[in-house]
This record gives sequence, C-alpha cells and structure tokens, in this order.
Amino acid sequence: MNCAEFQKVLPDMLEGAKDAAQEAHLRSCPACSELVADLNFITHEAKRLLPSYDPHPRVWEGIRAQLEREGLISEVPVTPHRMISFSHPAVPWLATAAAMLLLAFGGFLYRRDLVSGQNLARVGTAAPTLDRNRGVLTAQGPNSEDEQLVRQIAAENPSLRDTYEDNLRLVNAYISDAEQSVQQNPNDEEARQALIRAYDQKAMVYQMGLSRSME
Amino acid sequence: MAPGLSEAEAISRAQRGDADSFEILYGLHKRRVYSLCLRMTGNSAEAEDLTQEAFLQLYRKIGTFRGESAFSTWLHRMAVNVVLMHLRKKSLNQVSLDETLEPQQEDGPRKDLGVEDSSLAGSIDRVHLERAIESLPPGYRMIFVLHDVEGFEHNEIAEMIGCSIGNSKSQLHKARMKLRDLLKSSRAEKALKR
Repeated sequence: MNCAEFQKVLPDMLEGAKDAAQEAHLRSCPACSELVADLNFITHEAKRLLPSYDPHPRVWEGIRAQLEREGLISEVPVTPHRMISFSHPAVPWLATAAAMLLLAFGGFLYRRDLVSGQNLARVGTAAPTLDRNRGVLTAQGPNSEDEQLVRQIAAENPSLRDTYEDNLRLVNAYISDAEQSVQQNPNDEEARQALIRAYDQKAMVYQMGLSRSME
Repeated sequence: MAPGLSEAEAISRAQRGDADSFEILYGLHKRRVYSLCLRMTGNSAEAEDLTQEAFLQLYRKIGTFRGESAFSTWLHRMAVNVVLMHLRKKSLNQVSLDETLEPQQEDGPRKDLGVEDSSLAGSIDRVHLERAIESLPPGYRMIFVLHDVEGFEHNEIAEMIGCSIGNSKSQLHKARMKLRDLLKSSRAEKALKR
C-alpha cells in the first residue's frame, strides 16, 4: 500500500478499525503516521472545546423587546436571581471570591488600557503571573476558592456538583491555554482577547454560583 | 432561579407562558447556543442575531416540547436549524459544499515549504484551534463544527443540510485536512516571529 492508496481509505479508517495493510503502511511511513496523529489530535481537541462565548446582554434585550412587540409577554420584571448583592451574609466567602475575581480581571483590563506599544508585551505576560500570585485566578487547576464554590453548590443542590466541577475545570484549562498563548505571543491581540474572555468566563461561573447561593 | 426550581419546572412554567422561567432557560442555555452560532458563522453580529432568533423560536415552540429528548438537545437542534436556514438564505452552504480544496499531491501528505515537519500535538492549544476553525471556509466550518465539536452523526448532518452521508464524510475529511494545514501554517508563522 502506498501513500495515495492509504489516504484514499483514510476517512473511513479514522472512523473504524485499521486492517493489516493499513497498519503496515502506518508503521513504515512517518508522513502518513504523522498525518493520522494530527487528525486524531484535531478531532480529540475539537471535542474538548468549550461553549466559550457569552452573548452580549443586548441579545436578551432584543428577545424581550420582540416578545413584547408580539404581545407574547408584558414587561418582564427583573428576577430576584439576577440581583447580586455582595453583602449577602450567607455566602461571604463566595462574594469575596467573586469580587476578587472581577477586580483582578478589571485590573488586568485597566492596566492593559493604560499601556500601549511595547509596554503591552510586558503587561501581557505580567498580568497572569500577578493573578496567579493572588490565588483566586490560578489557572492551572482548581484552587481552594473553586473547591469551596463546588462544596457550596453541592450542599444546596447535589445534582449541580458535576456541572460546576466540569465548568471550573474547563474554564481553568481555557485560562491556562490562553495564558500560554499570551506568554508566547505577547503582542498578539487575538490571544490577549482570548485571555480576557477566559477570565470573564471564570468570573461568570462565580457569579452564577453566587446568585444561586443567594436564592 | 427560584429555590428548588429545576430546569424541568422552568420548562413547564415557560410552557404556560411564564416569562421569568423563559429568562431562566435563556440564562442556562445562552452560552451553548451563542457559541454554536458564532462557531458556525464566524461572525459575532450574525451570531447574536441567530441566537436571538433561536430563542424567539424556542419561546414560540416550547409548548410543543414533549420531553422525548433532552431539552438541551431539542433546543440545540432548533438552533442548528436556525443557523442552517440563515446560511441557506445566504447560499453559502451550496457554494461551500461544492468547494474543493486546492490540488493535493497524490503520492503522500502535502508538505508545506518552511513548515516544520512534526506532529501538532503539544504545540497547538485551544486558542489556536478556535482561530483556525474561524479561518475555515464556511462549508467546511459548518460540517466540522457540527460533527467534531457538537457531536452530530453524519446521518443527522446529512438530514439537516440536505446532502448525502458520503458527502458529509468527505467534507469533514477535507475540513480536517484544511484545519491541519492552517494549524501548521500558524505554527510556522509563530516560529518565524521568534
């Protein structure tokens, strides 16, 4: 079997088992072997992509306005779960964690806006380090605040434990990836935007936990 | 969410026209729907419009949800159909499904000059992958997102976009190959900058 023959059957082979001839070609051909490894890697990584993006609040405003225009709903009141108070006595640690997360993220944005040109590179790499030192934003894995959030959620609704654990694990991995990208390419604006989105998402996970705990 | 209100209860209340419960469902599912729309269109403005349309359809049709499948699956399918309808209107899918990749060497995997010849694993992260997916031609992006990201099977994709299963498989393979090229090029560019 040569490379052309191998690649002709490759799409089917990726979805099923390899026969002896295909196995033999893979063992003897580094190029095809690398191709298969790359395609498997892409497939595997694609499955791990997060639903990473949140719509702008104007999307909900548009939906509500349209439903009102159609007479399907009257004015929608602001629901209690959307009103977040950081002084809620029941969950002081969670409020603190969420506030620190948001402040750190805000600080990152603030410092990012203060500098330009070559300084951007310095800030781009410095911010994650600083954040990591603050503990709350540790991106490599769950930290004590993450674990506390999961415990709090599980205490109130055990069925949500896995969901929150998954969300935190995924968003931590996303932050880690994004940090790595920024560190490797400090002047890459898209990488920096990805990092900002990643922090934003972690803040949102905490906000969701916070609002749930206050219900 | 009101204390103890499960998603099933929120669905039930929304079916009776409770707008608060509908807002709760929006909060629970907006990220997944918007991410799907954004990945399939590659355009944030279009993705916002389509997210809005998907949830408007949800509100109008939620009374028909009978629980034969999970609510998230049902909503997701609805969102996919909204996006596909939009792409059909733009005639993108027809153009893109007929798209062909640039000619490839017949005797082995294509080698790009200047591209280091080593596996992608370990050198590509999700940020690069997201960016490469954005760069895919629309037809390839659609098939790739539906199959490899969202987990639809070829028979489901074929039914949704109106092509054969073989066509779906073939387009997916081309999309993955194109993605590999994009990722390798991106890695080579990065190496040159260092």
